[in-house]
Amino acid sequence: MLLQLLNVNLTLGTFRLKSVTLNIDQKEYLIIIGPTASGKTTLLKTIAGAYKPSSGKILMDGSDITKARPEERNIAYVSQIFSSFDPMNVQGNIEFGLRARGVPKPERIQTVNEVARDLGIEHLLDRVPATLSGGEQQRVSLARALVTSPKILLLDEPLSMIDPETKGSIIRLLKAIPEKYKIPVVHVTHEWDETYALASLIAVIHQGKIIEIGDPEQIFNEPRNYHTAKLVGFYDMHKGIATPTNSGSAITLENGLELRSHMKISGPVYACIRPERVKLNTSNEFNKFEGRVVEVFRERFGYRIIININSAEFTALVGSKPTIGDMVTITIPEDSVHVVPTTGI
Amino acid sequence: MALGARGINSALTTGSFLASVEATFIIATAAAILSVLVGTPFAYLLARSDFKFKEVIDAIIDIPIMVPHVLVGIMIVLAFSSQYGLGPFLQGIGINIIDTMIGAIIAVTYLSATYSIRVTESAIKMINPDVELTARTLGSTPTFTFTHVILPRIWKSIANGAILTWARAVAEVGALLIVAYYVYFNGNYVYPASIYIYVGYEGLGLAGIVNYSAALLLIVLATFIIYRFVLRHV
Repeated sequence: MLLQLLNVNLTLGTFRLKSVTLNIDQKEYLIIIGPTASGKTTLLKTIAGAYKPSSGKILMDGSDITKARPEERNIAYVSQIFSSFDPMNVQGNIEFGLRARGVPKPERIQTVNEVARDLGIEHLLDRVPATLSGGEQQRVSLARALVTSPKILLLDEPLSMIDPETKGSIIRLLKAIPEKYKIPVVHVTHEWDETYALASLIAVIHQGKIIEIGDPEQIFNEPRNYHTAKLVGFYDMHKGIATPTNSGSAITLENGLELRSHMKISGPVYACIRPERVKLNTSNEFNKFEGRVVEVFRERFGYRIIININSAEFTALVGSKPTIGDMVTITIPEDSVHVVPTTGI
Repeated sequence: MALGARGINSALTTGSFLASVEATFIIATAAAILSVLVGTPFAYLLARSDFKFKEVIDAIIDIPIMVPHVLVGIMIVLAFSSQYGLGPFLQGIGINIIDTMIGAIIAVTYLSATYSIRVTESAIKMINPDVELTARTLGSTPTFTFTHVILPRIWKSIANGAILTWARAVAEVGALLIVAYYVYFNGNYVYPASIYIYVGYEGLGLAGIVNYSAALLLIVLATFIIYRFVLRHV
């Protein structure tokens, strides 16, 4: 294991990181996903060495680096907002880490040129960082980190300041880092599509605590926690009581509706449903309900509508625009009703 | 200045006045240099760290803004005069503070460094701490980070703070009345410029001192204009 966090606790004002345990392997692309103020940046900065844990350990290649200074860790941190070292130009910014380490100038120039060529920013070396676009600044940040050959690369919401057009190319670039440079990446974000595109491993953080760790398919399709489900696109979370059936379970919701799920579970649960799995006007033995359209929102691929059924709201994505007040029939396949226990919320 | 314009020439050829201005400039320049040397690390600490009793340190730095400067002069006398505080010890090793250049420099540095510290502190606070963390994770020590990342961004603020300190030091009267009414300088007892004007006003009246006031104003104004010009073009 390259990097291990063992029961790391940290208090920062009123915020606390609670017993964080994480293992990061070579070639891993770990994404820590969590809502705003969940502690993801604090966790990243703790790994970088900005904050010292009040208890717990951080191990790198088995050595304890809990109390090591940031410059002693060889862990590069790329902040959310481009941290330009003014008044240096792009070349000066990229070679900064090498200069700080006393690398001779000819070697610095060669390394900077190699990485700049790799990242497609060779033509920007004489420019002033303030004149660069968001995507170019992000490439410069990455180059500046990569020239120092860090053992781990930490990325704090690297795509948050980039326009959608450029995002695609930066995602390709980021995805290639663990393989190409043999550097594992720890990346924090609240965007689940970016997480799904990049991660080889996902850790979900909520109120300073890692609540779930898993591979992308498990986290996105079978989250084990209410907050994870909410974060990864399950819009509707209905509380109810589950009883096992032959093919799974029947969940009686608080408003009396009965939902069928393919998952065998019993007791108090949340039935979690993605809007793209809710169908309009199709036939199904179970999970077929009639309700009234109460809200309509435009989306990139059609419309997101909210349907009121017995005072419970269900969300569906549809191609054509319904009118508010229309009566519609929805069906939800049993294998699209994901169930998580109410415990641990 | 208009009223005293005709007499500026005569003021600028009066030996006692020139000696007074020279001593004042030395005191003020020393105060400005000391405020940068001591004040910059202080400003950094205040901008970047949270520690116990930070509010107390903050308040102590602001004392010169809060209280009459005569009171600060009395505090310095109590701390360094021959009968109190460190005075007897310092006198034992041959250092006199009261009515000396050292005493004047201590008094005006304490009273004026506030401006330097606050200006520099604000400039450091404007820099996102992530910039420093980024530099540190690239292998840069705190000193290298300060000299190569922070200093290039704040040096103009430091320079501005220094000139404000310098100007405030030139203008100081209250504390000097107590600590260094006159100072031993170049073999003579010399009044600092502000005291010179004050004593002149007391002895000669308004008409007698207007030339010297205009001359001092002209010198300080010229210094400021030159300073601003230089800062703008570097």
